[in-house]
Amino acid sequence: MMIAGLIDPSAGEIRIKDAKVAGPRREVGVVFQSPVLLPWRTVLQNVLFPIELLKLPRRQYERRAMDLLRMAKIDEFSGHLPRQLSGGMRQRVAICRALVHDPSILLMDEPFSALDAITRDEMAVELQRIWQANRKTVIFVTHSIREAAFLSDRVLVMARRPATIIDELPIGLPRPRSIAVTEDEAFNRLVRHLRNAIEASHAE
Amino acid sequence: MRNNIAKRAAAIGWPILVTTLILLGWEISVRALGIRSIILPPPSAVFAAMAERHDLLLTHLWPSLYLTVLGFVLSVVGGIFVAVLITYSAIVRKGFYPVIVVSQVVPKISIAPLFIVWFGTGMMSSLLLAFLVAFFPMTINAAMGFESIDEDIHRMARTFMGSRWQIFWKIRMPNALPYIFAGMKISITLAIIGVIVSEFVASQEGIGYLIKLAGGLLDTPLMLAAITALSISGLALYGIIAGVESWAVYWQPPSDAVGAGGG
Repeated sequence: MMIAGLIDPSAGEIRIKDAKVAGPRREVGVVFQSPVLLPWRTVLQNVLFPIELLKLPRRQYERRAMDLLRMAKIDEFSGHLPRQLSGGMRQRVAICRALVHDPSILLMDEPFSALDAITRDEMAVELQRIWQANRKTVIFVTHSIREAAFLSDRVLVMARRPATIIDELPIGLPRPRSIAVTEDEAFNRLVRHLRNAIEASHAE
Repeated sequence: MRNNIAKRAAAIGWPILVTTLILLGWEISVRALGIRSIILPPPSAVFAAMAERHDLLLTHLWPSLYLTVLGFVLSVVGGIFVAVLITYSAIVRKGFYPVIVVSQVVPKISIAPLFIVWFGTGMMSSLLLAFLVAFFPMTINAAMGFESIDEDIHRMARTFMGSRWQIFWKIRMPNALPYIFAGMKISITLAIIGVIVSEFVASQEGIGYLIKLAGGLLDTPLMLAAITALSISGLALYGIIAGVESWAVYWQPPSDAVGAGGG
């Protein structure tokens, strides 16, 4: 929320490309915990919502929006209303919306936490695929250690109260990763390492 | 699709059946018990009175409906305007809004004689009373609609650098629409009551005047005919609003009613 410019940091400052974050910025796209789609807009209109707010040429971005929807495999639902979609599909729409204005940074705040376990795994694979086609810096906040290890190049472990970074772990697993990776010994070693770091911080 | 039609038919069919049975029971018992028409005419006599004197009924119905619709439209425009002020002005929200809510306790109908003193026995009094009773539920519902924005939606719009103006027109307004229509449905029925009461108190025309006049002449069939005509008109006005609502609020399944009462 601070990186998105919605909340001011209590101390210090946040810099994106050497510029201080003082408010919401164009080069940041955000995906929230819930999809927060506008119920009166169709899928395509929801994806184009940032374009309208940013007053960018709609016609130009309509194609991009359709491309994103196609990539997220929901292009055939572009004319549907959000209430006609499942939870996973809605969150995909939200991801397309966050990407439509081509931001350089994508912030994801526990985006899959409201989904069931199987959909959640599928979405992680999907996100990886979308990311490989649209290379962005993604900052992904999650409470799932597995999810963090599966998706990340680099995991930062945060302790609560005060929220500080207590550990940093590079994940060197080759991409594209499939869910089968989570069975590997290398993957589980990483997960164990992260869990130990978190438990150690709780023990203090 | 077919299931839908069957459901609809059942939704309309049952009330019609019940109404028919009530009318039939009324007709039969009035005849069987020999109740005089002055006390309670049978439905057939009421319908006969409606058919025979439709000129008289329509002459008095039009001015009432005209004032009802006018008062209603004014209350919608005024209500939405005040609701916007409540949403965006802290002074109005903190100072006036509680006063508006508390003033709901005053039965506004009781002000009718005062209006007659101030504005005379003409159309002005009826119009103002209709406006006054319809205005409050409209305001309160619209204000609720503007304010009940999901915090996440607001946050989302801000991350895409939405201005206040954009947030109002693209989020608050559509979000408030279901509430505004709920307010309209309450307001239209109240506007009718406002006009009729004002016509009861003092007026030379209008359906309320006709009902009172027929009562004075002990012409009960005419009285019931006037009441029936009024009810049908009220139902029609309500139906028009409900129809526009299902078209305008297309994203909501029809059974999801929102909003609060008032009046």
